[in-house]
Amino acid sequence: MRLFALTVAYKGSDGKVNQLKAAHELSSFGYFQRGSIREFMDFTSKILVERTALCSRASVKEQEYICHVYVRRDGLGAVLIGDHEYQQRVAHTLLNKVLDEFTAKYSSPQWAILKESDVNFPQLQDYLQKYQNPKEADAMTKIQSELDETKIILHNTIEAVLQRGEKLDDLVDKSEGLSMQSKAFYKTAKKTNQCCIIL
Amino acid sequence: MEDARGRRLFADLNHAFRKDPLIDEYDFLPVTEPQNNASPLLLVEHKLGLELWSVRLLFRYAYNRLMNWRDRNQASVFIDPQELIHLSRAVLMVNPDCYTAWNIRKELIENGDLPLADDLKLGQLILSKFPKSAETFIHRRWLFQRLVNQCLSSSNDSTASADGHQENGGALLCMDGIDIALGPEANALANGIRPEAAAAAVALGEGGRACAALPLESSRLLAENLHHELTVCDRAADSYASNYYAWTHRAWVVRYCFNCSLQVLLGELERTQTWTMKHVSDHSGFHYRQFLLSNLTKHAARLHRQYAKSLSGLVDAEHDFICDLVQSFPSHEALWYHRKFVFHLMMKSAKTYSSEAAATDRVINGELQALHDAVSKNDGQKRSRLESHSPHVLRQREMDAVQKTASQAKEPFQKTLARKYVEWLEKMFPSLKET
Repeated sequence: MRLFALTVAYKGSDGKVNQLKAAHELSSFGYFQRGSIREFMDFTSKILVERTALCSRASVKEQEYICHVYVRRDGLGAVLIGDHEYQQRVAHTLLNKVLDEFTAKYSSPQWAILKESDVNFPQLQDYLQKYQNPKEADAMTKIQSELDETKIILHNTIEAVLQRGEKLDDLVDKSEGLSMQSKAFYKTAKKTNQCCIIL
Repeated sequence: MEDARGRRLFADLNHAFRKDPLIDEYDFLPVTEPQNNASPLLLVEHKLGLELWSVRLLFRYAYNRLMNWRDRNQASVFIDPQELIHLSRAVLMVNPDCYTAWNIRKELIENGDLPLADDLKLGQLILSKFPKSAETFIHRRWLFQRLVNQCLSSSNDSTASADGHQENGGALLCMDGIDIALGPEANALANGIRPEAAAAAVALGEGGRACAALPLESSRLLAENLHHELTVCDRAADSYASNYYAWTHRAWVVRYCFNCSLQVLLGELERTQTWTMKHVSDHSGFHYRQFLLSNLTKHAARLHRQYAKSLSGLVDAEHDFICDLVQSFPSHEALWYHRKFVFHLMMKSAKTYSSEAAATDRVINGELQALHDAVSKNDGQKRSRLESHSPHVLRQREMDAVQKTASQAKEPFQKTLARKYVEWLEKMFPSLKET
């Protein structure tokens, strides 16, 4: 089980999402892929916070990844991207914890205007590292009853989260957060999935 | 035109390897069109990137040239060995399952044109891009087989003359073997063995492959690379889920090159524990542990003598380990399969244990009721251990635990798996009351 990215973002009343801080652990990916994968994780996290209603939780499957998302009543949200082995309850408990700590450090009026580069929240990276360890996760499962009873909605693909008529390919195309290289990476990856031989 | 570009790319690739012999990873970059005359090769921090459009050209050039040379029917072109080495490298980096290219390299090694160590390095590089390439693992086995055979044959040649050296040579190899201690626990183990046991291990060559007066080169290569090979397998298993090829290769290395040495088996059991804990749905990793445990069961007596470890202790520990995982990570079928294996092993050793005990102790006589009565009397400690390890008690305890899981689990799939396990228990160990 692995965790790849942990993100805190604010969803304003106008629906716009402001990424406040993101932490990544991408050492298991190839050297040349890391940059693009990082951009894609941020891109996906943003989409998910955008499409998740206030006061709700979801776990979204996408290929071999699962993205856990929680957006609170006050618009503050967090996304954790891991693999399918990582326990859902532990992931959502971690999201709660991260949001609580972030709130203790930055008060709500700041969320809409803070820039990611100005946010000093090293705990995010620490949590991402600490929770890689299943032993740590194990201790968490024992206090899972602390997790509120908000139901976790399950989706089988990211496409299922999108609104009617929206296509992931279009969103990728339009995105400003993704570099040319990452868009090319997305396209070739799609192509090579259909046919494993590049020749 | 295409050929000329292919040749240039080929030259560029060779140049990159000359410039940085420490390249340890490569990948194809998602650039589908050539861009403003720049080289499509990128070299940063010992990582090599090839733009996708160039890969096809490079491969076509290298493959055609290599196959034209290989085709004996044609008036074949002469290519010097150095270029053959480079051509086959280019082909294999793009398509590692081209076994003709691997075979050409085998011939080059046999002719002494290609150092064996270089091929081990190339294989490792290819595994960074294609972690489950079967042909790459097969070629590595050929390389190791060759190394081991070189060691063995030279020891056969020299047994008559080298009696004096035998002890020295054997000791040398064994020092390597002891260096192979895997992880801190194994080190503690090695230190914990009594001196005479260590001496016995040395005499045995800790694997029976005592080789006297090895050709220095092969023995050095073997010692250097055997240890490393396990790390290579680790990496391959990490970068591709359920990498059956990597794990079977690892089992082969332990069996063939380490000759299932107890120290290596114990070290590997220790070393793969964390890995399996972090990959609870990967059956290949658990299957490897099953391989380790099965081999350990064959040497229960020696395990006790040399390492002061009881087999039933190891199996019990594995059972605790897997039960804990089953509880912590519900709904993973691989875990339940491993539990089946471990429990089966427990029952097997319990049966031998109780039958041995029955033979030596007539009071017990395999009769369970008598056993219960006897426990309260003197010598209770031994009997309570016997009782707690009797097949009947074991089965009942396992049955209760699993049924509890089946009724308490929140996840429907975990319930299903637990129920299937109960069915399996009933089928495998049906009428234990009579035994």
